[in-house]
Amino acid sequence: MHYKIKFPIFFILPLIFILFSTQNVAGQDKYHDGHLSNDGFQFLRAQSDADNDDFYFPDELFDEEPSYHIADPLRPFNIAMFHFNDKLYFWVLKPAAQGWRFIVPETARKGISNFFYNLGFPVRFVSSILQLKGDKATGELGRFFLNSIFGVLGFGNPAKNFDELNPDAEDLGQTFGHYGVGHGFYLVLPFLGPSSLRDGIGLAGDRFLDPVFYVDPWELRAGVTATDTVNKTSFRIGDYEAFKDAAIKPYDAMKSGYLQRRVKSVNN
Amino acid sequence: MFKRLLLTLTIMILFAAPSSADKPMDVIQTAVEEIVGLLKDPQYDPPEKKEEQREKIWNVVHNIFDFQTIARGTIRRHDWERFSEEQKKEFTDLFTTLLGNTYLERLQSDYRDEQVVFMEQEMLSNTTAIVRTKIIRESIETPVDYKLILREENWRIYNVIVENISLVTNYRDQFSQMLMRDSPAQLIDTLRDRVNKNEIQGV
Repeated sequence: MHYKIKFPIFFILPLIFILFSTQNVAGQDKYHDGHLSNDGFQFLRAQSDADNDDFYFPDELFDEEPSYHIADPLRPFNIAMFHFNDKLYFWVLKPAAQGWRFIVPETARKGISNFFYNLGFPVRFVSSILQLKGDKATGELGRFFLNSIFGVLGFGNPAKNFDELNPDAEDLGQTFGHYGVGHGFYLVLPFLGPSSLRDGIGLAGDRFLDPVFYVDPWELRAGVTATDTVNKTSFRIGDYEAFKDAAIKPYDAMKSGYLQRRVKSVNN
Repeated sequence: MFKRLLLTLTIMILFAAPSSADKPMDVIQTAVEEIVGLLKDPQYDPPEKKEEQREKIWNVVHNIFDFQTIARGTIRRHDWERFSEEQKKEFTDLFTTLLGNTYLERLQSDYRDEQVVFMEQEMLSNTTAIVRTKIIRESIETPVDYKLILREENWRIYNVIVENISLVTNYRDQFSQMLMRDSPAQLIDTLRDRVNKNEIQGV
């Protein structure tokens, strides 16, 4: 996880152009089959439902929870990566997190998680600025200073009781989305999980704003990243299992969850 | 004349508006308290009592979830039209069982004194509402929103949204992917296999 990515601008510009031009294909595609809801059609639908033992099912019931479409041309690769991450979780991450949870008391784990969240400040701050979200940027800044100083380098979280100091986290992928850039296509990244062309590029950019990226030598950097990941997972043991257990097709379930969550993050 | 008709209609609509005694949030709060009570009750600690506990929880759950609407919402309209009347019913029953099995099992094995905080309720229309809650576990807060619909004077849950992921959408996306290649009959077979497998594996 210590690869370096260089993005010459002449590579990014055509990509952004492609993303903009495909956003209609990969954007919101409501599940109502694209039918126009003219009155005649409504009537037909109402009638067909009445045939089914009078079950009242208003069509707009799930309008706020539509299905989103994303192209998945790399599906075989993505499925392979999905399985890779699945094994990585069960064979490495979960045992490590269980051990960590056993050894390190909850308070310390919480402190470490606060510390790393505080360290991610530049990513959230810059992305808020780029989206001209002044309130969020101010909130992030306030939180960073309060927690760094009075929370002792961010291990404590004195900002937690102030709503305005806890804005939803922004990142570069969301920033692209905010300006209308579509996902492009679905991408499952090894170690990092579900993503997309847009959000993958966003992630690569976010790394440059992440202080951990500048830790030297790479062994130490890897250690820091591993600590963060294992510590984070120690609060979430069982979540992935529950998700997988409830899914009929885990790969598609994860894709769906990823898309839903990203749409919400981009929109707020 | 026309005005009077309009007025009459308006009054009719106003008075026809549901006047249910229970508010959406009360319905969920009561059910959650009942379920937590059952989960905490030491009388169900021995393994042979788990089945009984599960049945009692299921009774509560079954009363507040509108499984017919949930199941219907997981199939896109043009896919739904491919189902025969019999298949529609079979799918609804199997999916209900599957949801019940999966989540009740999880609840019984994983419940660790999580705290449920009821935040707010909001009417979305005359017959739909949303109740926002938070589940707190080890200082981690998970937002869980319930969407409810008024069915015969009772508020019933028709969708659950956990950390911005809608349960119904999540299943809809899986089923629509399956139905691109498979027939409704094959989808039903897959569900039946899952239900049977879960039963063999036990509680």
